[in-house]
Amino acid sequence: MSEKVGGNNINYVICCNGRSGSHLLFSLLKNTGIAGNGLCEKMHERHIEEAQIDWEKKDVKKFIEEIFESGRTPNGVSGFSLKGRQLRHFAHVLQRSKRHRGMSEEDILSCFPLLNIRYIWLTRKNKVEHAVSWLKAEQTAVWWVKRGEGEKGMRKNPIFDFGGIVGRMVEFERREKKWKKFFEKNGIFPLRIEYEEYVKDFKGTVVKILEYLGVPLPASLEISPDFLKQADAVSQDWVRKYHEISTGKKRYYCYVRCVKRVQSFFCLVSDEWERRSRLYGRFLRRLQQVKGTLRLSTVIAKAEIKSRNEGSYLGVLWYLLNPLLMFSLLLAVFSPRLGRDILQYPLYLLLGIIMFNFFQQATTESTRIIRHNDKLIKSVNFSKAALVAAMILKTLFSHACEMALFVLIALFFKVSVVGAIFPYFLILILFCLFCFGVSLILSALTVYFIDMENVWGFAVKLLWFATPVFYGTGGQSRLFLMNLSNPMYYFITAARDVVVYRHNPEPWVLAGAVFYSLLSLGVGVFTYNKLKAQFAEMI
Amino acid sequence: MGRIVVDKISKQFKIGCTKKQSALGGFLSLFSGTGPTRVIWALREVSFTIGHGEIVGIIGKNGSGKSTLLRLIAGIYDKTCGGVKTWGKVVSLINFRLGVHQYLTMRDNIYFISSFLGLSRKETAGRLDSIVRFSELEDFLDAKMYQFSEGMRQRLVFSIAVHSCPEILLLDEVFEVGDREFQAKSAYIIKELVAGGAAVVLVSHNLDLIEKYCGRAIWLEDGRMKGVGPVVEVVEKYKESV
Repeated sequence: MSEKVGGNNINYVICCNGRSGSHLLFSLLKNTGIAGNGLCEKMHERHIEEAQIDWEKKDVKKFIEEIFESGRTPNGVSGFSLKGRQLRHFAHVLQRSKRHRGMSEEDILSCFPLLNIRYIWLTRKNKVEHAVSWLKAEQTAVWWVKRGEGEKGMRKNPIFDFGGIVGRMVEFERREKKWKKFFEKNGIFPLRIEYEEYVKDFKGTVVKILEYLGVPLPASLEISPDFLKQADAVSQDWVRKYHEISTGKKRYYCYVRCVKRVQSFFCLVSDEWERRSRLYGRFLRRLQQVKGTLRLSTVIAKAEIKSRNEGSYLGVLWYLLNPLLMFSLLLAVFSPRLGRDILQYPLYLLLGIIMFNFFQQATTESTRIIRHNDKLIKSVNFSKAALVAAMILKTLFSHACEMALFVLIALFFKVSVVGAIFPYFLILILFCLFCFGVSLILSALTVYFIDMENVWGFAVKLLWFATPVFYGTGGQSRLFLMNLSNPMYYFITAARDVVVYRHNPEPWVLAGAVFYSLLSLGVGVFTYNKLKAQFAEMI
Repeated sequence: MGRIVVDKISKQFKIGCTKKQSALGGFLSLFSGTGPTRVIWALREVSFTIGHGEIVGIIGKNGSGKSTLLRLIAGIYDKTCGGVKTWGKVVSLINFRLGVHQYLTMRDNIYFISSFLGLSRKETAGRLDSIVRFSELEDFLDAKMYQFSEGMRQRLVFSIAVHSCPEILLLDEVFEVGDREFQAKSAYIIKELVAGGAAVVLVSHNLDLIEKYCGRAIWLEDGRMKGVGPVVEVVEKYKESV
């Protein structure tokens, strides 16, 4: 583990782009014997591919910890160089797995251990020489020459390519900007080393880095680079040629501009892809948040249900008492008059009561939920929507108990409800969304208007009488027209059609249920998001 | 690399007050239940940085904005202006209530509270023994919370908080709970967290405690930062001022 107790380990990353002298710098550090002794490029494309890691099972954080651990010197120092290109490749490899889908380059960097990590930002001031170095290495396939190895055979003789140099320069600038953005965004102050400066003074650079890392300097410091400088007469000739063309001849200006434009177009396209990938990542993160909220709301709901029934002799039977009493009373009073023309009136009435009960319980409790949890809200930062969602889940539990009672009574009246379970389930989902939306609005508004609890109690009573729970709308066109603007009418009618009368609800009834559930959810989420920031200070 | 960066942060509250009102205004206030309000600045342009492995104390008189600052760092309050940025998991222990369910067992409450501190059920199950052992409440795992004393409850909540792997731990007058032995254990685990790279922010009126554990201190007065620096210097200046 890199995050050892005692914090003695020191991790460092040399952030750079290709051909900026990272191998040379790393070899200087490695040869001191006190600044890591592993591979220079631990996240090189080849190493990543060859490792054949199953990213469905492997955690990125763990992987990064492991690569820091490999190659740690006895004094606890470890590091490696990381190029923008390698980071991008690593992100692509990770994105192939379901577990890391949507993971961006920034997400990978955020997995680096925060403890004792130091960033060294290696750049080249002279962009022309940088681009020439890359192009020459690419053409000859000689990327480095080790001390004592002699000259390597070139794959082919290098050919001057003006467009290639311009293209590389644009690319390097873009990658450098990305590192800069990463450092700024994360409040990192890296040690900036310029290639041109450090090749003049190896020892000074190594001392500067060791001091930055907080590694005590030994009495004698051995400085021996493993690599030779590759810039030669050909490189100098190419640099000269580039300057001649770009400054001397007019027709080449157009060429330079053209190449730069094409290059920046591709950069734009590539940036657009990255932006989309970031958006996708953000979407996945949002999804994770929703998942987290649901998980938390399940925990709260379970605790609430358990807490309510703890020590109770009748337990869940209490859930049934209220609808049962209401049902018996209304059936006795209204059955001979209002229920005469309604088919299966007892079931019609009971389902109406159960559905309305759900709405009443969920929404009434939502007016208290934020204030009741004031200590918690003032102490911990968590999604307050989880409290509202938990209340819906809790009400869903009592609804399930009430529906069990309904099934028993339906069996008594010789009505089978087995085939109605699935369609009712779909209607219940819409109904839950509707109740959740209304509850979100009420929970947020009650924080600002304390009277909302009383107002809502009154409004629910009115709605109870306005909704055809114990009466029907048949033959009363005015009542029917009034109920078209009552959301509860659609949900109760659809549920009765499916469960009591065993036929599909009318399309307009279904459309009304979908419309009101989406409307309520949309308005609820909007209102809640607008008002939630002040919850902690208003309660 | 910083764990917490607070940049010129300010926080404004509207509080109730007595004010001369018209007859109609007074009548409406009587019925609406809302009275006149005035604006107060709980914090004004406070800036500082806290790095990893640091324990920083916040001192000041009552009403100087210490708890408000802690809540702003935790993201509980929304800032009026300025900025605050944190790197790592923030766990705030501002009071010991934390939604404890009186009629549930200690085991149920551990799972319940842990879920608010960002632990999954599986993670909590893995740490259950350690939480119980640390809080020294092994014999009460299946006892109901209403049977617990205040001290037992505080030990339990503190134990859950430090076992939830905080990278930034915010403690508001809740550090030294329990007996001497438990306090020593708490200090040890806090030091372990800090050695592991966490940052701890400690709000307290107990200056000895601040001097004992913190490396740096921030002194707030009337919402403004009066001093920041090595703990001994800041505490000394604060003592001179009161």
